[in-house]
Amino acid sequence: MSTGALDRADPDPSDPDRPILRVRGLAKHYPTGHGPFRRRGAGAVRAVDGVDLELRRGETLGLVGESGCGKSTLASVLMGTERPSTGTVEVDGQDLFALDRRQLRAVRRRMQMVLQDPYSSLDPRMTIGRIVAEPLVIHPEVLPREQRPGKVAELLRLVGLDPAHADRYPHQLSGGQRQRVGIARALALGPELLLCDEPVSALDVSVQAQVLNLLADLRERLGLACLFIAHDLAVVQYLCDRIAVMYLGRIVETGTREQVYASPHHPYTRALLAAVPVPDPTLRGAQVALLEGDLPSPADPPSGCRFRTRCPQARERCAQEEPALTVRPGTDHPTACHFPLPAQVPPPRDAATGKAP
Amino acid sequence: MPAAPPPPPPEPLLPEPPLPEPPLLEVDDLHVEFRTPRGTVRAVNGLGYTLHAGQTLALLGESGSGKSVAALAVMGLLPTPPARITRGAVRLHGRDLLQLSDAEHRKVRGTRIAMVFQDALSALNPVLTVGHQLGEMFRVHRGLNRREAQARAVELMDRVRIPAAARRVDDYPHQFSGGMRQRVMIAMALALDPEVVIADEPTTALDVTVQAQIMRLLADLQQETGTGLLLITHDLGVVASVADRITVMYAGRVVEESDAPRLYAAPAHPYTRGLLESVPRLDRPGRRLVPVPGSPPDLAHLPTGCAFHPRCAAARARCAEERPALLPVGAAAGERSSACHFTDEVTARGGRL
Repeated sequence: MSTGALDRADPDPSDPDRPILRVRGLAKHYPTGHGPFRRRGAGAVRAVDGVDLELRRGETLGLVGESGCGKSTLASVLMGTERPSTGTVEVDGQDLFALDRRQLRAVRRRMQMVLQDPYSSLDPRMTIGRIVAEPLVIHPEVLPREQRPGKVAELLRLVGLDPAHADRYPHQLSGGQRQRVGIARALALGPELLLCDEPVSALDVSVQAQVLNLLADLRERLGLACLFIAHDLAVVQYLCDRIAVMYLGRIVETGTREQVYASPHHPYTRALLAAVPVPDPTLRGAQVALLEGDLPSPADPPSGCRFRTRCPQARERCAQEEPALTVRPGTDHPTACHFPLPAQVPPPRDAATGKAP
Repeated sequence: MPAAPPPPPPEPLLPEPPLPEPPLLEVDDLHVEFRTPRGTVRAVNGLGYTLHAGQTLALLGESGSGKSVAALAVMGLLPTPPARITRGAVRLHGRDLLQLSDAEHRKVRGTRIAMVFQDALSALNPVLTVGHQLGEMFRVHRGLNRREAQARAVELMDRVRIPAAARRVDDYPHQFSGGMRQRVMIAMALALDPEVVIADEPTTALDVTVQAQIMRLLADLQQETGTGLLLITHDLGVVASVADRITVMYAGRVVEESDAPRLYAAPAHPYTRGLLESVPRLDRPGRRLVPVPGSPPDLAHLPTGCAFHPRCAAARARCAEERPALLPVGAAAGERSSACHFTDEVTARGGRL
């Protein structure tokens, strides 16, 4: 890689494996007992309810879950736009919510966000050039003012846009081009960590692939760590090294891409994967077991395991005891299920006992 | 009348299948445009398809392909102005719906052709109970009284598998989850036993697990009732699981028309191939996506010739000059067609360029 302005400033030489992002015991509860529509004895919507995550440098972690699982609330806490109810968010060892304003500014430079909707996330009255340069205006210490136009041109080229687009307005660009502008803006300060919240779900299929490949290339070239939040399991599989599956405010399963996709242990993960329609008509008629019912309310989650109300194999214990996210016998990655499903391709049997390991 | 001598074919390009009676729904050379301050937006430019009873036909296209505008034209729901249907016919059992008065069209709508919209929350009236809205179909069209209509509403909700229908019939739309609201929409569409159901992106707003439930429900109900189902979608995965035939649209025209297995196995149009190669697939991990370059066309300034040529890897000079007609592919004429000057080359390489 060249010594361009996008190079990392100070890679940590002492511990290259230190996570760039560490989330511990994170919860975000929204009280429901306020305002004119107050209910008696109201509690709180537990949007995120005890999440642990680690993201290492250069790694892409996919956070998947359906609407209402808390993934976007988690993203806004990670960006510091919401304060957590409990728990910590550490960026390179610094607790995001224990910093003073000046320190927070410095940390914010290192993490940037790509948002879902390329229509509402760009100010319609600003030119593309001003949008991309805005982070540099907010952080004038990064680059002398006179170098900004050159930097903007470099960023636009980096995301595959013509530098001449700098004089245009968002409405003159297509959805895919707008999302590239959003990515260029996120890269302006040379971040180490990119939070992408559903970055391609508003795009058409043919354009979505362009943006996915762009994100994959940029991550590679710039050594970015990426938290990729999405509901589309195929998209996450395409882009992510590790996966965390979220259900009703909790992470229910996490592992490498191969572990989670090839042998999901949590019944929810398996149902989620089975529900994804595969573009192959020859597979039609393969009757998969579908999940019944809807997501319970996060204001009143079920006792014990939160998935038990929809789980085809829930037993008594599931209603009483909340399963921890941990590696259990017969599994090779952490699952929050008392009765994890065996691997789909059974692992080789132990010759001595004849039992599965 | 089988004894009458066949009239000379008015359009030599369209093969006339020797059907004893006209197909259930036939859209023929439909053109829709919108007059806007920016110029004339040509949303549908000669769309044609045929839907038979008991068949599921998918209209596949990305945003701006004209698939939803065409559906609204069939339903007689296009606001005119700004929309104008400049040419074409929409024939239900051979009768052109575009020639009907508003009042006549209203009678067809709901009773013979019904529609399931994408966004159930905005399609339902938030201040009326679900039972009231379902029952309205029977009160208005069938002249039932309030109590009878309510009973039919409960039956319908049972039929679309809404649990505890008798209790939930008095709930308001916001009290239902997204999946349950979409079931209500489907119930409403099926209320008067229509011959054609048009489902416009029925699962796009839903989560995958709920999407799978709704698609299964639609397929089951279609089996039971034998209606013709026109499924409008952008999702190649959803289409693969249910469609008998697929019509791929680009810039308001049909670019490819085929049965499902062959379309997926060997697309005959470069755009179809491009779509298939741009979708990440769970069953093909590690495969690099090949995006379609460029952006969808500006419908106010359509490219000359083939509308796809600026984005097509196989485009040559002819593609910018001459608009390709939709022609049969291969030996099995009438079963598959593609609108590409170089279809034979595309299919010969298994859809690869």
